[in-house]
Amino acid sequence: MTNVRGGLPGLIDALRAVHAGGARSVLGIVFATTGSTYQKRGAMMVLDEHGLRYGVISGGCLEPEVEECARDVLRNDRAASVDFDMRTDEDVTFGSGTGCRGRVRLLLSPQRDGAPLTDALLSLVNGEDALSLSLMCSGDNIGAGRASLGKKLWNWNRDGSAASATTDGAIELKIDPPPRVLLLGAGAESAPLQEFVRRLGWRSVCVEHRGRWLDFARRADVDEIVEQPPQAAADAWRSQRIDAAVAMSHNYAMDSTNLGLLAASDIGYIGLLGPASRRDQLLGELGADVAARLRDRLHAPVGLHLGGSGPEVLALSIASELQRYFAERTR
Amino acid sequence: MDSLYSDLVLQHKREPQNFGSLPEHTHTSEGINALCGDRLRVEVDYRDDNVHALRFNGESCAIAIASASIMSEMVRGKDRRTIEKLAGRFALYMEGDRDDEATLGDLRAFEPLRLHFARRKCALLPWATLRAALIGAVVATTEQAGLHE
Repeated sequence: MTNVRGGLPGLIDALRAVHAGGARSVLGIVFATTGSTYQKRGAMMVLDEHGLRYGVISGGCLEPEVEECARDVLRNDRAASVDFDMRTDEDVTFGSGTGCRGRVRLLLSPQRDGAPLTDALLSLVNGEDALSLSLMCSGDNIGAGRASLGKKLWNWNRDGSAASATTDGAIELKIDPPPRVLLLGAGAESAPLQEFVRRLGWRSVCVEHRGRWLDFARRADVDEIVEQPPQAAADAWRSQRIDAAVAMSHNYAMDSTNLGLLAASDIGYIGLLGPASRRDQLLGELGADVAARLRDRLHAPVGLHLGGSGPEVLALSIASELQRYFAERTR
Repeated sequence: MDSLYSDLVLQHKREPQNFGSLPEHTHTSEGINALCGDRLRVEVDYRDDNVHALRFNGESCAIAIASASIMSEMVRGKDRRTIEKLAGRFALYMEGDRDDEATLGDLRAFEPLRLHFARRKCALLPWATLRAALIGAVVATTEQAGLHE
């Protein structure tokens, strides 16, 4: 694997890279789907005039046409929409050839450094709140839109530049910030788990103060390390939006402290590394009150049961369960 | 009408004409569209300024195979200049130009590609490969590479 990030952070990296050289980009946003499709509403991609493409809307079948359309968008400096209807026999022979029988509609919007929509996405990637988008996806005003994130507000016209524009009849989309995962403790599984975190476009915060295990966190290149013992570290992570937490210190006393702290939080997913007997002993010692507060949120042993053993399998298992949790949460 | 086009293309895909090798060929070239995976070889017996025989082989999508199959029947007995004109007319036809469309015969089955421009390169690959063979070029392609994630 490489250091390339996936998801929204990766998309932002691509936007920044294109704009850093003074070039323009095209942002593709899926605004409607029907039937079986590779991506769903809110999926995004970045293209530039030199053939760079980050992100996909299909398994590769629709992208050549998207690239052609993106070149037109840059040439005309005006947004356009693309409609891929894969439900017909004609599409199987002459079109995408996928046979998926779905339909994907995509808005292609010209972007440049400082463009309101680009700025809104930059704010989202490190933010706490979801981004609300109103996008004109048809008609004379296609490409115009509005975004709001907390108290911030952006408006743009059909060429993507800042302006107040009518958004009557706009498509409404909500884009969530990247999930942030709290890893309470490091170990041999930290590096493979961080690879999944990076590729899936999540953020990681690792709490670890023990020198021997701290090396695992550093080598894993997690997004943020809090070098504090559990109680002191809680002050740091409580101030952030945390979407999921995994107690994985490999130490009974530290996991016990962390479970107590997590029970008092509103984090929706709490994983605990270790066998069921260890879980039961920990919950027994923490008391009925803490156990009751954890009951509906605790995933212990953490991860999907895939079989096998070792740090890589463990990381895959944890990442898989986290992905399922994040996906079900947004349904 | 579209289903008639599809049927003809699929018929040529299932039972391509002149598929195989031509050991006595005088000209040959390889058509490769690496991004979409189409790859075909055209072998031609071109003497006395006309195509005596043509065979093609390889693995490609339905459109490329059907185009090669139809091409293999159309170009027999034709000279290079006529083939060039036919290939040019075919390319324009897929962009919506309807001039002299009767001269295109079964190539009109690719009319739906006016709406699916990303697949035009598949239909044009056999023609580009044949033209490459006739001028002595080893390889032909109808696609451009991009920089992807």
